[in-house]
Amino acid sequence: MSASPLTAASPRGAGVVLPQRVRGAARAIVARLGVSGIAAALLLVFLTVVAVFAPDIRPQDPDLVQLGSTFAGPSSAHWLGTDQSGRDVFSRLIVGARPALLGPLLVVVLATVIGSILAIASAWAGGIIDGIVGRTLDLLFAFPAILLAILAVAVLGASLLAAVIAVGIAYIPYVARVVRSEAVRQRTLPYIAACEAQGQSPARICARHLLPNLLPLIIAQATVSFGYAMIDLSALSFLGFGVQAPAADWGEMVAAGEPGILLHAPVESISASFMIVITVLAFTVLGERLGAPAGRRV
Amino acid sequence: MARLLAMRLVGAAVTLFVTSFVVYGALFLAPGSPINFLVGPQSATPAMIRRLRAEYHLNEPFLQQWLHWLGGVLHGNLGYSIVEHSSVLGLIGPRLGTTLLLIAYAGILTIGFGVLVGTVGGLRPGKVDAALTTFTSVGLGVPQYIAGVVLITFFGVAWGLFPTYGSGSGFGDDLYHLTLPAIALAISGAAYVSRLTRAAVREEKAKEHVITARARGIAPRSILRRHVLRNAAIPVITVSGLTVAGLIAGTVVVETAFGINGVGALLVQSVQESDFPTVQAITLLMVAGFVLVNTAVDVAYLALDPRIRARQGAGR
Repeated sequence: MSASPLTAASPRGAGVVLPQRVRGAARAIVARLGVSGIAAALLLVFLTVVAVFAPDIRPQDPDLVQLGSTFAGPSSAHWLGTDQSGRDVFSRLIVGARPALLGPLLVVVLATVIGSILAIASAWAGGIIDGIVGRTLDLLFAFPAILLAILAVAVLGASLLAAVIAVGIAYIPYVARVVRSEAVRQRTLPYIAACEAQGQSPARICARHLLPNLLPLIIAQATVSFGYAMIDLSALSFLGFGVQAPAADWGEMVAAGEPGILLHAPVESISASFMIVITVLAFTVLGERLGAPAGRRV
Repeated sequence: MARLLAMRLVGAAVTLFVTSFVVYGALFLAPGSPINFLVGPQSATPAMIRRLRAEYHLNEPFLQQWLHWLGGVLHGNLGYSIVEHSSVLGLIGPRLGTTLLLIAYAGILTIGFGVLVGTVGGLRPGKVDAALTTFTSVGLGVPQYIAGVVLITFFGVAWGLFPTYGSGSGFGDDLYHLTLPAIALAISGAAYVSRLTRAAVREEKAKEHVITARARGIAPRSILRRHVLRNAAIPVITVSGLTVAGLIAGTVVVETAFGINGVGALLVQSVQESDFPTVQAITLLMVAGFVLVNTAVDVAYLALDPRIRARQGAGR
């Protein structure tokens, strides 16, 4: 899956958020996010809290095997029933939120940091450097994230880390392309020329002036990418190439529940699927709201 | 025109060249020696090791090894799978038909539904558009394997409308077996194509030439066909091509979810069995497919868009 991150944010005007105008900024954020954006943000905050406190709030031991009650339906003891080994699905969903959110977070951090640096550097330098970086990123575009990750797993062995690094590398061009086009535009704006006239060094201008102006776009792009990274990483986990059993992870639970579907006990697969879909949706909705150009709704 | 065309083709060739380097070079990132890695968990006889050493030219410098391997690939020699005791081509060949059929089926669904839904959404603002946009937003967020699992649960098991596993015998039965997998593979791409189609139709509808045409009293049907849809088609074709190319990698996940014995499932199986020659060959094939479809679309785009031809004629 891969063409989709292209949907992400498009360039928008500079919006420097001044600390003393925090309240105005908050109002602007609410206005920009709209009802669906705020709902998405709240859902993500909730999921993050669940993931952070997972060991404390899970009702049962997610690894407790009870072979007497496998693929049991929902009951008061097991809200979402049990899995193939009689483990409590609801508790595993809660614990599984950790790798499910941590993996995409690492991917996004990796891709965003490297992608933004490459984008700003090549937009600033222009010329040959810009050309070389651009062609290299075009090459990376030809590698669907999931294939690069499978190649990495084939070489390094199945682990969340191998999958995260490979998907992170595959996401660099998506970040870089979006950030570069806006950086190129801002490079020509008067505030940059003013900084140069003051004799500030290029590194300082990029870090202190250009980057803060690009930040809203970078954040919007990172938010959308988070959703797509979750799609790719959970797919790898579904294939058995991500988080390794017996650790719980949503993608792995979709796969582990497949035998249950044929036995008319689809709750494990379906509930894990539901968690993945609503989380991805929340990230894409929020990202598009953050990145949508002013006055136009995508 | 010829120059642009040549540039695209050279670009595709360079991409494939570098890809082959990455795919081959991955072998040397593995912990341990390449020969142990190629042999995998099998106990290899000295004869096998000699054969592998010869085939991968492991006694020669890296660049030569790579060029030898690439040369072999270009001659149709995709290597030898120790795990399966078979040439890699012999493993891929019989499975290729199923996978290509799946991609074609899903491609038709992706473009067909994507363009249809997007056009309707673009032309009917209001409730219809809002409903379709909600659908496509959800569709975009549904991973292909989850679409597969949900389709199996409801259409396969609960309602028993479609087979849930494997591929059929004979073309008609094949299509029947591949229907749910093709839908699962197509959903997110179709949602994406539909969003872009909708945006393109809306943009064209608001353009001055359309307003002018309406003022001149040209029949709405004719405006729609000749002014709106024809111009909107250009970005849609590019995106459709990109999306269909993206389906190639999606077969890995969908074939595994549905237990289809295709090339994608073979890739997963090869990784599990540490059958690296097969992994290399399939990865290279899939990236090559992706690049070739994209290049074909680029070329079609050059041929279709008269503005590009005109710009070229004016001297770029």
